[in-house]
This record gives sequence, structure tokens and C-alpha cells, in this order.
Amino acid sequence: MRVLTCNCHGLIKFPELDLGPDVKIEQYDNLCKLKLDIGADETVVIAGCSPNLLEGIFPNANAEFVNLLEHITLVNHSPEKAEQLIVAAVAKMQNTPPVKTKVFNIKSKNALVIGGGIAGIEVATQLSKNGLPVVLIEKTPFLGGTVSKLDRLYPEGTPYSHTLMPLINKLQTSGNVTQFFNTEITDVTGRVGDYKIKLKAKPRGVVECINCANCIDVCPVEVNDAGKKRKAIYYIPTFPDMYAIDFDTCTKCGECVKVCPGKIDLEQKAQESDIDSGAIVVATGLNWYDVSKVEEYGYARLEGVMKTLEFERAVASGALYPKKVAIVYCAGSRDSKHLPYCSKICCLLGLKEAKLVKDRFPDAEVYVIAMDMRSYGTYEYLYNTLRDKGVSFIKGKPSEIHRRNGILVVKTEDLFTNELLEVEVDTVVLNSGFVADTITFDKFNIKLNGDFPVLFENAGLGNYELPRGIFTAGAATFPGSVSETLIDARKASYSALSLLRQDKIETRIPQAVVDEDLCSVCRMCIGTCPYNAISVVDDKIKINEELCMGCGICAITCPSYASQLEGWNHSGLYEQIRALVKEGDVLAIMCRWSAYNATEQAAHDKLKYPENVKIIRVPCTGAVDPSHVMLALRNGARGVLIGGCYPDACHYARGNFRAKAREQILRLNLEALGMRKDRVRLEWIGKDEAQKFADIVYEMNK
Amino acid sequence: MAKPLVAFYWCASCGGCEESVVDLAEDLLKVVDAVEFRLFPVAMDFKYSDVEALPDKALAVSFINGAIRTEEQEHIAKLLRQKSQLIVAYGACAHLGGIPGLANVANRKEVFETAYKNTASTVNPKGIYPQTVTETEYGKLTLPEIYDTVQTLDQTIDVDYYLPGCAPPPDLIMNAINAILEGKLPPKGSVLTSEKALCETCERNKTKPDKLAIKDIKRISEVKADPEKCFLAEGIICMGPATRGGCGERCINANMPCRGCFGPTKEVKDMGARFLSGLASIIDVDDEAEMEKIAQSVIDPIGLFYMYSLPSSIINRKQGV
Repeated sequence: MRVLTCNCHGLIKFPELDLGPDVKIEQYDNLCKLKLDIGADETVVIAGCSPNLLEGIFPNANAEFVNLLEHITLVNHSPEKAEQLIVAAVAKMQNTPPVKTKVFNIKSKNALVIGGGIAGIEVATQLSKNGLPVVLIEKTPFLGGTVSKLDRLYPEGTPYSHTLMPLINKLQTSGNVTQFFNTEITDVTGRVGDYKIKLKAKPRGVVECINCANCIDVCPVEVNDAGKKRKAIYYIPTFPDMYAIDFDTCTKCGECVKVCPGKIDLEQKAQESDIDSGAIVVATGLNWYDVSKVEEYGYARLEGVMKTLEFERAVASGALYPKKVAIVYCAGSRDSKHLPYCSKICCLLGLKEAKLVKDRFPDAEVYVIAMDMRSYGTYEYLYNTLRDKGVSFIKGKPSEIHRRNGILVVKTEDLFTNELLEVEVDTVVLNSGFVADTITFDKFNIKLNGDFPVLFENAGLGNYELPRGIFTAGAATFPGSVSETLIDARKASYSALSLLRQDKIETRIPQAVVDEDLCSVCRMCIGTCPYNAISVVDDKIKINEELCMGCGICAITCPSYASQLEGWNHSGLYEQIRALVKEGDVLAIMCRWSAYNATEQAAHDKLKYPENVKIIRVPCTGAVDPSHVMLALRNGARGVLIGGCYPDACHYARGNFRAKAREQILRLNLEALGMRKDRVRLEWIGKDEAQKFADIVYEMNK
Repeated sequence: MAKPLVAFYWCASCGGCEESVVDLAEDLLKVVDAVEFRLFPVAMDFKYSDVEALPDKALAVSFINGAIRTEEQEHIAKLLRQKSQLIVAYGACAHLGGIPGLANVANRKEVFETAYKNTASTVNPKGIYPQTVTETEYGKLTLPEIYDTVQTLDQTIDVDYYLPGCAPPPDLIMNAINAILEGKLPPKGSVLTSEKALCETCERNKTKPDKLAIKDIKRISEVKADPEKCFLAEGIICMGPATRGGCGERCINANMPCRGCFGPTKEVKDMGARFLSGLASIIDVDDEAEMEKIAQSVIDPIGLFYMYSLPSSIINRKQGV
């Protein structure tokens, strides 16, 4: 084994080291400038400056880093301590097998884009323009998604055709895009670079079409499509340029076949196809929250109470001439009984509807009833415009909507005037929030935070080290304006493109591995994984390599040490602590993301802390083993400090909470064994909280 | 061919390990046919001097049960090591320290005060405690010294194999005896049972939800346990995930959770700390105050997590006493 030492241009003074015949010591004075080769199967100790820096220089090394600069030299600690740190690091690495290299071959260069709304269209166009073969699937018969249902877009109220038509035209001329309509995914197998997907296209019914529109004259089935009337056979002027039959409402009476013989097939069969794909962009958009669940607002019970989309389409198509309109904001949003979150765009949608009324019927009265107006950024202009146009804004949350003498009454408080109001109108628009269309999320193991994917699934924040090849785009990530949606689509395109440009991905990030000879399949680990990476497959515990982020929480949960985090296996850490901790020491086991950085900052802040404080670095407080704490105490440690991220700020979501629970029970154990419970402390220490770190270790030294 | 010579000795134990020999039933006759005893205090009248008279390594195997807590036990354990080819730590007390090992939460003085004075059934007005030497009119009487700290057998002498359990079940005993007689022994240091934890064979493991998450910790005495369901999933502490299997789930079948008498699996150095870590990890609460409350509901952590393994754990006794 090699120990690479760097004296940082003479800054670091080294002790004389004798680590036995099996350990070779190499001395450098500027390790950071050398391109040293460290083998994949080799384990090394690197002693020099900060691991945060050295990890960037040796990203693939199986290394334990000893920070002599910040933990010895700059804090004036002794060369003997330096030697102890190095000896302990050697003990660790002599008992730590190397991290396995994981290779993901990008076998398929196809990109699958799910969803033919503006996000999906934009992603497909971008990928196709860059030379990738793209499959775009859409579950309805037409492209356009939510935007194609709208009359206009905020803030100005421009018709959607300004935006959607150019996007569709660019897509159709971009190159190599295969489009499937009325299509759903029935099965997904495989992994990044090599997904196999089964598709099922439901029948369109219309085989050939010249858009003569004769069929709608004879179709007897009238359908209310979100506020707008159409027939069971219908057309949306986006793409493809042909009619389609809505088989959910079609009675198969055959009238349309009579006027268009041979070109309409009511008994058309579903078609199945298999495709392969290296990366998948999920652009499945959003759904309006089911506002009928907000019972006090009377949707579906009271005539004249409408959803925003219905209202917009009814007014635009001339089916509705409102004179007095109340637009009720946050209908079911920011409400623990319904959607606990803010959907971000609905405030602007409400303003858009108010402007629609004022544009069409300048004399109509419009009341906007809102707890808050979140017209963020420059959308504030739209709000100001509507104030100028005479829209009344009431600050409040309506308690009830009912009908009295044929008039709708909205009961609300007004927090500006501190009055209870009854607003009398002919139409109420319930401005509700949104949920993601989760139709495919389960198939792609996309985890949710509330009703939308957790942020790191987002295209722009994809995990490049270990890509799953699944990206979300547009409103499937989170609701946004048309321009925000297109920006998100570009981010997803970039992520998918940079992935598919490679032939293979090699990573050496540490992951949990399970020793089947030790695992009893007790399943205690499964629920502790923040990434749902653990499951039972064929009666064995299986770690999904695409999901495991290497926190080590499961390894410390496993009562048999069957699960181990590569690079941090229990016996390596055991030997490190056994070698390091001497009578009277304080052992500081620090999370690499927060508390460890504070220990480095202490050196640059010129803080002093006692020589007997020995610092080791771990991936997460959730990876700290109570057994190792016990070992440190047996070795005579005065105290053990576990330092990590503040609650809710854990890099691995919930590792610090797991650590907290373990600390709590461990402390009971210590007391029962006659020790003061504060000899073990789990503390939240932010990366700049050097003073806090120093204060705590002083306290623990008393 | 001469029959192999065998010793069966007891140290700090309850006698249950001796009972386990009787539990062999008809198989006991086979064992008696196959071997010749040279020491078996509960059953046969051999003297220590008989063993001392044997040449070194004359005994094929010595089965020693019980923890080591007296001078005499240490002496005989060392004597048997000298006279035996193999030493088998027999039962939880020899293996891990066992129930007598819980005395490590106190010292000798406290143990004596409890045993010879404070218990309600004890009448000892003169406060007389056991002495190693007592002068009487008939001469000097001696007793072996009782130690402050209870030890496992392998903390006293080198041990070749471990037969786990409180007490070891008959099938494992017969497997071990057959393996010794046939010379088909696993690597030295092996625990002669399953390498995996109890959950592997526990019927109730099937009823465990995939995501084990508990919101409170219950004591078995406080609830009526469902005879079908996984104890842990119900919030009842069961050491099964941290304990070697092979016991035949005797306790589970009697609707009692596992308390860990078979000891930890092979990589684990501190059974209690390991189980504690797993248990804490499945507490599905993110609120610190709530978490503290749940943790406080663990009554007697040593008696729960280290019921059989305190002397063998990383910190093997109460500190400061």
C-alpha cells in the first residue's frame, strides 16, 4: 500500500514515518500539480491538504485523505498527532476493499420523449436537430398538450397559435422524429443506455382524411370538452392534420362512415410496438387539481361555478357572456386538506382570465379574491394593468359559495377592510392548482415530493455521476409559464444529449453492496433508503445501482453488516478508530458535506481547539455506526462528537434524522452503562460554523 | 478402538445446558456409546485430580458451559484447555457471557449486597459476605474468589468452537458431536449454527411489510402479540434480525420475541449496538422531540439489547463501578 504525502511547498512539516514493510511512503511537495496514476484496484492514503480539493484531483482513487494542512499545520498541532492520523488512515485502508467500477454501456442512441405538449415537442426538436433519432409519443390523437386547449397565453393574452404552431412546424422539419399518437407505454425494462419499451397505440378510427369536416355534420354525439362543445369525431388544428374519433364517447352508429366510406374504420385494432432507447424524457405535463373536492365551493353542484380552463374556453368560444365574475384564488391550494403547496402559475392564470373578461366585455365586473397575489418578477405589470382596468382585488379566502335567488354568492372576509363580504356574481371561476400527470412516473421510478418529482430528478439537476437516463421536462417537473416550460425542456434536452453522446459511462461512486451470505432478508434496510434503491428480488435484497447515492444509511441499519458502503466498510472504520483514539481524546466524526468543512474553516479562521480532538470524515451522519462510537469510548475517548447537516438539510435527505434516533437510544445505553450521556453528542454544524465546532469540542474536553 | 475422552463442565450457568444433554433423549444413548466421560460434575463422580492426572491433550473435546466469574471456573477452564484437543463453548453463557454476564452492570460488592443482604428473602443480620478465606475452630476454610467482571469463555482461554443458545437445541448438539466424531469440522472459531440471522427462517418474516416503519416501541408484557405477525413490525422489540438463526424459532413459536441468545452474526462485534442502530433506523419520525420521547420508551436498554451478550460486547461492563 502507498501513502502519498504532500508537504504543500514546504508548508507542512512531516513527522518521521515508519509504517512497516507493507507500506510505501512517497513524498511530494506539490501533489495537486502532478498527474499521478492511482490504480483502480489500489488503496492509498493521501496526506496533504483538504480532501475536498484532493478528491477533485484524484476522483477515482480508493483513498483515505488525511488533512494535515488544516488539521495539523494551520492549527499548530503536533507532528505526533499527524502520525497518529496517518497510521489510523492506513489501518482503515488496509481493511477497506476498493470501490468497484460500474460501467453503463449506452447501447441505444434513441431518445424517447413522452408527451406531445410544448415541452415534449421542444425536447424532440432539440434532440433531433442534434442528430439523435427520437421517438415522440403522445397519449391523445393530437400534439399540443395543455397549451392547445387554451385560448390565450399570459401575460399579454396572445393566442396560443403564436407559440405552438412554430414549435410544431420546427418539429416536423427537424429530422429524425417518429411520432406515435393515442399511445401509451405498457412496459419498461432495462437501464440507462439500454431501455426496452413496449408501446400500445389505441385506434384513431380515421385512416385517411382531407379535413372536409363532413363527418361532424352527421355525428350525433355532442361532447363537452372542458367548456367547449365538439363531436365524438373531432379535430384540433395542431398535428397531425386529420380527424380522430373519441372512442370513449363514440356510439359506433356508423353515420360518419356513410359520408366518408373506406376512410373511417370503427373496428380498427390497437397496435403494439417495441422500441429501444438510451435516455427517456418524461414531459407528461400537468392536470388541474380536482376542485370538486373543495366541497364548500360547489363545483359540479352549482351552475355557474367553473374551472379556469372551462371558463376560458367557454368565453372564447362565445358560449358564455358573464357580467359579474368572481375569480377565487388558491381553490384547494396551500391548504393542508388539499394541495399543500403553491402551484406558482395559477395567480397569473387568474389574472389572465380577468384580462380575458375585461378585453371581451369591458363593462363586466370582475372580483379577484386572493389571499396573496404572487405575480412574481415582471408579471407584476399584468397585475397593475388589471387594477387600472378596474378589476376589484379582495384579500381573503372565501369560506363558502352558494346560490341565492338565482345569484351566486361568494362569502369571504376582506382582510384589507376587515369586513365580511358577500360578493354577488353570475359566474365563479375556481382558480385551482396543479398536480403532475403521474401516469408514467411509477414505470420510471420517479420519486415524488408532494405531487411533483423531487427536485434532483429535474432535468437541470440530474445526477451526472450516476445518470439513470430519465429526465423530466416542462410541467412534469413543475408548472411554469410557456417560456419557463420551454427553458426546462432545453435543460432536459441538454442532459439527454450529453448522456447519449457517450458510448459508455464509467463511475466509481461508492454504493451499498449486499453480502448474500450474511443477509437474512430481514428487510430493515428497505425503508431507511432515501432513494427507494433497495428492494426484494427473488427473495434477495437487491440494491438498484441506478438509484443508490452512497449515503451508507442502510449499512448502518443492517444488524448483520450484510450491507456495506463501498469505501466505508465497518471493519475499515473499526480499525481506523481503534488505531486513532487514545485515552482522553475527543473523536469528531464529521459529515463531509457540512461539519467537516467547519473543521477546515476553523484553521482559516485561526481558531484554536485542543490537540486531542481527532477528526475523521464520513459521507453522512447517517453512516456513523454506534458500535464505532462504543469503540472510541472503550479506547478511552472523553467524548465522541458526530457533526452533520441541520435537520431537513441532509445531503441524503434523512440521514441526519436516522443519526439522531440512533444517538438518542445510544445515549440511553451509555447511561445504563454508567457513562454520562453527553459523552456522545450529535450536533448540527454548518460548513461555516467553525466557532460552533471549536466551542463544542472545548466543552467536550471539560 | 478406544473411545474418545470427553469432559462436560459447568461454570457460571443455570444448569440448563446440562438439561439440554438430557433433551437429547434417545440420542443420548448413542453419545454415551460413542464416548467416554472424564469429567461431568452434574452426572458423574469424577474429581478434578482425575483430570489433572491425564496427559495433555488426552481429552478429545471439552464442552464448557457457563460464563467465567470465579477463580475456580478460571482454573478449571485453563486446566481443560491444557488437557483437551478441542474446546467447545457450550451455550450462551460460555459463548457470550449470557444472563450471568448481566452482573457486569454492577461490581462484586453490589452483587453481594443484593444477594446476601438486600433481597427480601435474605436474613443476614450480621452482614456476613462470602470470604475467600475463613478461619474456624476446625481450621482454615477457603472459597474461590468471585470476580468483579464476568467474562466469556474465550476471554479466559482459547476456544475452538461455539455451540450457541440458551440452551443449545438438541439438533445442533448432535450435529456438533457428529462433526467432532467424524472429524468434519468447520474452520476454527465457527459458531456451529446458521451464518444468517433468525429472520431468514422465521415464518413471521413473510408478514413483515417491505418498509418497516414504527412510531412507538412496545414491551411484550404490555401488549397481546398477534401470533402471526412480525414483532418488529408491531413495534415490539425482537432481536431476530441481529441474532443468528438455527434455534428452531423456539421463542417465536411460543409467541415471544427473540432476545438474542444465539448471539450476533459473524461480522458483528457488538450485538447490542448493532441491533440498537437498526431499531433506531426504523423509527419513522423526523421530529427531534418526538424521537426523544420514543427513545425514552426503551426501558432497560442493557437488559434488552445485551441480554446475553454484555461481557462479549465492546464495552463489556458498567463503567465507574
